[in-house]
Amino acid sequence: MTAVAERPTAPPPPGHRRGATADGSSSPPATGTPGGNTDVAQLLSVVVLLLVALVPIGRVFDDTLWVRPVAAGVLVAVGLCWGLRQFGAGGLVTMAASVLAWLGFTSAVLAPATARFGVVPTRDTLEVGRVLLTDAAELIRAQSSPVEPEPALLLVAISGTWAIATAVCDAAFIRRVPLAAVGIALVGFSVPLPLATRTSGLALAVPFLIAAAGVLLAFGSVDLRRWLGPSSPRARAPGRRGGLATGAVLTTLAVGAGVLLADALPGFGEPPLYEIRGRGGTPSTNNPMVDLRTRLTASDGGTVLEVTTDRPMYLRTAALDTYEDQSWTAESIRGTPVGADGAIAPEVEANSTEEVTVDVEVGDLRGELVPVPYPAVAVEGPLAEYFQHDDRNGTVILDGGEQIGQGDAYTVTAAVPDPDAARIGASEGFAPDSHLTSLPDTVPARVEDLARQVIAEAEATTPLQQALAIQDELQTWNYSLEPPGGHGSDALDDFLDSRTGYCEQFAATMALMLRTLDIPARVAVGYTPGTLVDPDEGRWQVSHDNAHAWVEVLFPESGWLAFEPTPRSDGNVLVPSAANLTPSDTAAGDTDPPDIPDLADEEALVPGIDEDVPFDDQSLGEETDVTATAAEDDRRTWPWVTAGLFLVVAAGAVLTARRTAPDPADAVARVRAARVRAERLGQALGVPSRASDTDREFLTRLAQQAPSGAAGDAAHRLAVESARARYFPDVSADAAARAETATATLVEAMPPSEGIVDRARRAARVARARTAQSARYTRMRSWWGRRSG
Amino acid sequence: MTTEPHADAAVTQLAERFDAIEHNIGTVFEGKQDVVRLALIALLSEGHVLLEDVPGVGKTLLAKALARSISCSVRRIQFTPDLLPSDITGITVYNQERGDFEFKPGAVFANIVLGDEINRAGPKTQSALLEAMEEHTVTVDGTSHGLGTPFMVVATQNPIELDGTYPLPEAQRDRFMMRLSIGYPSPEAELGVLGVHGGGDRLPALEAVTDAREIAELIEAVKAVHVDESLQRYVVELVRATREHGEVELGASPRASLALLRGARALAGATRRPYVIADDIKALALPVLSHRLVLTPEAQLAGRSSEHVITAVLGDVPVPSGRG
Repeated sequence: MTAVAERPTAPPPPGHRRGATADGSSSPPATGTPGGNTDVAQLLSVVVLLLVALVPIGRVFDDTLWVRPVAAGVLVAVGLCWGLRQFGAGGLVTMAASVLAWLGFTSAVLAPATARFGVVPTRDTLEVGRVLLTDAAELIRAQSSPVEPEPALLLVAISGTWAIATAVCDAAFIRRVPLAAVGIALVGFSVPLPLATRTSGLALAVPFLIAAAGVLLAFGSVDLRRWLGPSSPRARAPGRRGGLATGAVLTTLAVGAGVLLADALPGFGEPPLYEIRGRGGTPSTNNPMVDLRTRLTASDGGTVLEVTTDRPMYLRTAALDTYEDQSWTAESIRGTPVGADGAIAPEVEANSTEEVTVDVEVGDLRGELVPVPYPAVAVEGPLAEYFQHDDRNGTVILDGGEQIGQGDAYTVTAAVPDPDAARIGASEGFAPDSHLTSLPDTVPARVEDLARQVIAEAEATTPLQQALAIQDELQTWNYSLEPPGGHGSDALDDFLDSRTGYCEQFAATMALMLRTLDIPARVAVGYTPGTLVDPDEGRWQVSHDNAHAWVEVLFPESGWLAFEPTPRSDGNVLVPSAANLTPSDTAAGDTDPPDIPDLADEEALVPGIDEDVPFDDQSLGEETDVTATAAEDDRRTWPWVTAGLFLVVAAGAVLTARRTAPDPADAVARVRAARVRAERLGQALGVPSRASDTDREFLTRLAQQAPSGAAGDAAHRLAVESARARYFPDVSADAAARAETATATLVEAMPPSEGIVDRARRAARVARARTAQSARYTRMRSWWGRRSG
Repeated sequence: MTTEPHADAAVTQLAERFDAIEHNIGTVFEGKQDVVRLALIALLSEGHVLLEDVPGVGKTLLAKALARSISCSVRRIQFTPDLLPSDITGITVYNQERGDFEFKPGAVFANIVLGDEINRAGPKTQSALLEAMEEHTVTVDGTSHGLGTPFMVVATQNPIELDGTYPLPEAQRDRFMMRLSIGYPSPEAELGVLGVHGGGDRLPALEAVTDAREIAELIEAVKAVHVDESLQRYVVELVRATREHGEVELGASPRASLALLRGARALAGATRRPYVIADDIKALALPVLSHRLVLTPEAQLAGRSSEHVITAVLGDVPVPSGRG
């Protein structure tokens, strides 16, 4: 045995390698993974982390075209960052190179024709980029997810994921803070979550995300024991379990938690936080308002339906009969299959009806909700077997995930009530189901005040008179696709103040006012009759612009009758009057709202796109929450829960930071902070500080990672100061400064971790040596053969 | 070697003298600086050293060089089977001139006692050293005689040649602060030995660089070196861990804790540090603890050594984080 007693303060002898500590320790190298393997594992986990973080983007786009450019962008960004790090590039250089590469990549993917050699962006490319960005801004406002992966949106997706990938790489490879990398990737993961409704596949992605994070942390060799507080000599730590084992435990726990708890995370299985409105495909949803809202302000005038009928009809998709949280909603639609011959039991048996048959051909429309004239009594067509009818609100839907789409056709027979106006007018009202007149307490009193004022002025006493009075009053208000005022809970107040809005607000408000008078009312959504394109055959073209909301009021013996409070600027509405309770024409002329002069024009009765409202303005009309989705009810809580959690975490982080940040006057704390910084560096480099390590042992191992002797000196200086701060109650500010400088030197001296380049070189050397050896062997054999032969 | 900015004068003087002696010994005993340092640490922490190695590597040379560097009394005892305990302790004889009994001090009455091949003497003789080593006194015929300061026993034994030897009893082994092995010199050092020794023995020319009084002062300075309470606990944990280790039948004694702490103080002082750090303790754990452990027969059969156990213990017991 050789007695060993090194000078504790002597710098480490050259040639000492990790795993063999100076005291001759032969304890197994708990984290003895060679630097290269750690590197590759880190790279792989970063790649997995980022790719998994892309999964939620699938909710934003309605097909998978986005996958290749976005994933390729991420891989290029990671590869670039990692490759540059191999050559020792710092953060700034990497960032600059990343920006250049991003320019090249997006040029090559989105506008190769304008780029020189397909990659180098030219002035034209930049112009294309500018246009795309402008488009993207509009599309994001106008479209609801999932959307088609249009180039403008792809540009946003590629750029966003590229930025996140670069930031993750910066954290993982350069700053060597695995935790930060995981955090950034999580941000990337969660950004698309609130945007859309589809949740499939996400729960599956979460365990992978957590596993990748675990691997990243494990190879960063986070030592949980250090997290749990300063080790005390009494705590008999299992010394052989180093960072790797701890990392493995962490990973296992994380995967377990991910599998078990993924669905408990906020945002999973929940409706979207907000809907970006507009056209862009119909989300598969049972919520009729989502369907409506995507159409009320359409982004183009494309044909939705072609209707052949001998009289213009509103085509209704759904009725909203519940008012909650400042919005009209419908409960989920539960259909029952229609009869064998397509017969539908009407919602309310009316005394007198007129049968109208409507042939509908579906154009640019997808969805489960079938636009039909109300009340439909029979529906036929190739899709007959899928038709279902919800008796509670007279809605026709398709069963089993089927959707109507381009080219579908069906024939609907509606039994349009033909009530006797005088008789209805005389009726004093009746006691309907309470839920048809119920309102929450949150409805402002001014709604009822206004209603009572209107009926008082009109001297309306019967429900019919009152409904007509309110309808007529609202018809005198102003129509605008860009109503003034804000959104959300104030939208109703804003509308009542400004008396300006569009069908959503008009219908919602009229239904509210009626209910305050105990008149059963609900909001219907669907389409106005549209444009008469072939008067001979009675063919009407319904476009997205014809999306509409109106009011239905229940009368005994007659059923639900439509009322039209909206003074639509295109006049494409059917307004009942006391004399004409069954509106059979687009009857804007009946009321002649003074604010809409062009309605006096006869042509306005069968209008197309309104010329007065610019196309873009129509499509990008301001959203209002007067009518909102049923999802809104559910989504009220979890943003608050999430925000609360964030607050708690943030407060915790601030407190921890405050506790751990050294007081400048406390030299001991400063030295300790310097040492902790070195420990973090060690963790990132795969050289964790073990509980049984002295300062010198750990720092010597750490310094061996650096090529220059400066690291050894710095490690030595830091070890001296750190040990002194631990064991000797006299530390000067100078000593603290020395420790901090030493740590800074250490951090700077650390090399880009040895990786693939070095390994490739070594492999090449080995291969050459083997070849030479085998050549020698062959020569020897042949020589031997000649000799013996 | 770093100069601690706050090292006080005593520690500075301690380190300077330490370096001087070390350098002095190094002129004749080359290439084994760490062994020299450990021996000096034992001297300054009032411990005794058991040099265990094969013949011819310089055990006696080291002991002699150490003794010569310090101007103090040195006695050499060649342990043989017929050596009597009284040869070591001394004997009371009747002085006819004075008509009274007179104490004739034995070989142990010196500042540095070199016991060569200690395992060649019988247990009785070996145990004659016991009291002297621990108590620094010798009792003969009911009268205690104090020993001077410093007092250090440097015993040597050959672990290979076991015929006709009496292995040291546990109690005696425990009284040695350290067991050191010198080991064969490196080829360069061996060449140097040839050159030096070929040109004549330089040992007689070795001059003392200090004296017994100064060493006594240094011993006092060592006692003043600060040890954080957490490190004292660390020492206790280490020693306790050797007792609880599965491969150990007999662990280290509390005397071992004491020796470890004292040695750490001396090592810290020698590095101009007025305080002990965990590295000091770790560096001394092997030489201070290894000879005190008795392994289980299974562990011995499995080829384990007490060095293995101590290394494992060092890797297991967490280093204290000190005051913060």
